[in-house]
Amino acid sequence: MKKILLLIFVARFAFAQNFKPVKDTVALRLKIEQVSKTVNTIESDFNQEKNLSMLSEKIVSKGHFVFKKENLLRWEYNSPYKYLIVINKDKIRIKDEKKTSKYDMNNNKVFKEINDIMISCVQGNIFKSGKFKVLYFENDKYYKLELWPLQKNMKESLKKINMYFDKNVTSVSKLDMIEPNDDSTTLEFINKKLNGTVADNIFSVR
Amino acid sequence: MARWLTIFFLLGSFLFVFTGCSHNKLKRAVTSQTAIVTAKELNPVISTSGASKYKAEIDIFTRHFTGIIVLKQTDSLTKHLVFVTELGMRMFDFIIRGDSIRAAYVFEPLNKPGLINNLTADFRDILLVSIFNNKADYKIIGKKNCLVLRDKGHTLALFRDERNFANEIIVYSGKNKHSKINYLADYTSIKFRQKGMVKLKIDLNKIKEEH
Repeated sequence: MKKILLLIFVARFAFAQNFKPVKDTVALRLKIEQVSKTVNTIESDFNQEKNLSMLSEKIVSKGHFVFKKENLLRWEYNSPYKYLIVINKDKIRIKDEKKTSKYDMNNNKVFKEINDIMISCVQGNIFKSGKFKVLYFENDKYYKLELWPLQKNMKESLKKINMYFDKNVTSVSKLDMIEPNDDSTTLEFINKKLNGTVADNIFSVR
Repeated sequence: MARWLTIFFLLGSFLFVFTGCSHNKLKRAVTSQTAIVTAKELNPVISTSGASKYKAEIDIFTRHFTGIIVLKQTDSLTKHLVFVTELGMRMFDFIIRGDSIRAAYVFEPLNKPGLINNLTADFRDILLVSIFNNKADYKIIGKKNCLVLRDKGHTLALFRDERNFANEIIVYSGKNKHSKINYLADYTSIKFRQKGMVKLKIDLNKIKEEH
């Protein structure tokens, strides 16, 4: 137990350490792109923390996700209650404890936007979308990419995304999504497994 | 457990349809006293200490929303209701001051006046905002204690238990039932149903905090 607490403390301390601008941003960008190309599947647990700044209140959720190229994502919450999102190319299935809903992303702009952000955040290539101004920072343990939205409608609901990679840039370690009123959603990815075998049927939307 | 709750509510709805309190019964019942409703007579849904979190399901028109609702008093006059989706997206933030409730923030695709007016009006009843500091007639209907109030053209009949937790509210528009709210186990489960032109269903189930 003490070891786990120490690990959490060390991880939080590392994320909080001062970041300085990256000198060779072109090389870093290239490295992320190259590594991203070699990653075909990602499986990870995640801890999600929603901070409602004005209420000084946190909503903590936990779950597991599986990603497989191209465009297959299973995003599953286990706590505080069960909730499942499956993205299979342009189809999305959402299952809560009572109901299953299916959507076609071609007919739903909001889901299309959510899908694009989720998939590209998990893959770590959201900065390639052209929808953000990207600033690159680093400390001893992490690279931090600050993504500032360029589109007016996105600016209304999102101030910026902080994306943290470990120094090997194999995959995203943590994400902060900060809203204009400074509310934020933080996702920390733990127990990551890259390029493991993942069956296609877990992404079924039927 | 969830199955028993469903059976309970189905049975409750059945009884409501066939034996529910009619507007005439309300009118005929003798008033024992008329007084302003305060926290002495009725326990508030929003606690003055700390936040409450509810798993929320909202069905309005043809849309189904799920997420978490946070209720919190932020100062002596202000309370907030914030609805956040499972993914962490803030859908709306309603501010409650005195007997009014207004939208401070609404996620753009949801920001339709008809939808927001319905939601704010109904949450005003669900959270007992329309009840507190309002004048009520205290009546006995059957064997139940009932508070009858007038609010914004509606008549509200509120039934409470012996510990002053609301059990049920029936909202009448004229002589017709407009909506019904059921409260279970000290507000750990709240179910709202509105029929008629705008069909609206809200289910709130309190989330136990992990320590």
